[in-house]
Amino acid sequence: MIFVKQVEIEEILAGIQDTVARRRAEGLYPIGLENELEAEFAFMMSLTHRGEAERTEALALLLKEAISASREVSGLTSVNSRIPFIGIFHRVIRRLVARQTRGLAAQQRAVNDAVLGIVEHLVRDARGREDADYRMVASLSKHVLDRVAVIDHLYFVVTELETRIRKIEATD
Amino acid sequence: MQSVHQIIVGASRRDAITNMALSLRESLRSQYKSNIYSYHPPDESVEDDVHPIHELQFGSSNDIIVYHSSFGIPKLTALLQARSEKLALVYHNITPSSYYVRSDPDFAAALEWGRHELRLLQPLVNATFADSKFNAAELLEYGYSNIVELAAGVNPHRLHDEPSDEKLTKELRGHFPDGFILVVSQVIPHKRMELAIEAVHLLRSVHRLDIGLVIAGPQRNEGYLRQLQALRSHLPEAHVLFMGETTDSELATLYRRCSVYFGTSDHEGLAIPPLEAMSAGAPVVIRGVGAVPETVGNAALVASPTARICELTEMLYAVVTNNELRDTLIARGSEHVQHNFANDTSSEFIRRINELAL
Repeated sequence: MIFVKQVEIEEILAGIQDTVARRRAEGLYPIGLENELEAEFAFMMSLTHRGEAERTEALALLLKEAISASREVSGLTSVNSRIPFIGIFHRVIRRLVARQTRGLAAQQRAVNDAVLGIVEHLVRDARGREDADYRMVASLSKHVLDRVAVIDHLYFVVTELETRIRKIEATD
Repeated sequence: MQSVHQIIVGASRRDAITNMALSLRESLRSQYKSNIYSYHPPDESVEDDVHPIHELQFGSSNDIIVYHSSFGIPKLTALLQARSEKLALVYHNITPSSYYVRSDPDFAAALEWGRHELRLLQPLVNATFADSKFNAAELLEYGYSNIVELAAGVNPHRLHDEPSDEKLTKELRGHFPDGFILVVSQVIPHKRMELAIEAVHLLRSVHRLDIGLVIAGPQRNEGYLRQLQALRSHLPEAHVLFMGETTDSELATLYRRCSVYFGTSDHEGLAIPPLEAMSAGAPVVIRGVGAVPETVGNAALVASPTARICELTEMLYAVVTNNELRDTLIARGSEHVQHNFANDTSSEFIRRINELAL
């Protein structure tokens, strides 16, 4: 037997919540910290789902972002500079080459539109197949569950019959 | 000679159910012909001790099959239904499928089948064992009666004679000179290991404790492990070592050297690692879910199942920094496992099996 000075664990447990409240008031645990951590991990876990549905949704989201980024291709870049007066130099250069860069940007947007159009078709296709899969899975599940219910019922009927047969055999 | 064979779903030396079955087999063999059969091929750590299920021969109605239920496999259910031996069921709990419906539907379906199997087997079962009150209460819902509550074959002291792993000891000293928190479990979502990563981040960033975290256990869900690793990278103060599957010697070293054992799981039918930690002299902080409160008694700092991360962090902080609390938990833990698990739980199991064999 080991002898140590015993502390009241129950008292310590009761004091823990007060300590949390005190530390929260001191600003050591920022307000919303727990919600933030829980939501963050829940979001991370939601990305690990391996279903096609999530993949199609993710693809649709990426497509939306690509369309929006494509619209912003203007052929003009920022003229700001950290070095004083160099911004003026950039502005002059931009004005000189704007005719060419705008033309290139228009060509790039045209290519983007074509590629994004193809991707849009693919996402629509995936969605269509996914809907059909859902309908088929729902219908198959219903049939399987019906069959399982029948098998379960038959199983109990057979068990009962076996019990009766055993009883009859025992009385004979 | 009558036979009492045991059936388990999978077999590995690192698996708690396999160890329980091995411990029971030793006792059973004194009176019966007794082997262990595994549905999934046994891994190399137990291939000399456990047979593949196809080697199980048909017995007579005088023989007994002990089935360890923890999962569901339709083919195994059918096999059990077709047997003529008497059937004893040992229920180790089945994780609720809701944790896996979206992330791993196949696994979720197998868990759901496990619960369905309990209903199917109920009329065939001649003796029922549950290794906790919590598990016994679940079996009642499936129509079982006369349930014997017995953690048969559980031996928290099994690592006592294992020598410490010198190489690992050196590595731990290098990685975590001021100590580490230990989590031992399969790396799967319902074990909630993210709580341990977040807690260690807060201990280091808020309390300025130079403490690390070791997560030891087989990685069974790649997606979850990836997200845990991402979380570790995302939280700058999280100092975490993923050990993966360990040898018994490595596990004994971890229990002996950790500052505190931390149980984070959302669901436990019977938690063996905290008992092993107590036996090795580690203080235990654990979430009070499922069978945990009855398993650890008053020998651990048990958090409410609804306790959130700041509360859990404070509990760990209290144990690491308050020497009197730490010593109390170590002493109570040691007494708890000595008092409740020192006796051979197999003897009561054998007595019940003897009654069934008559």
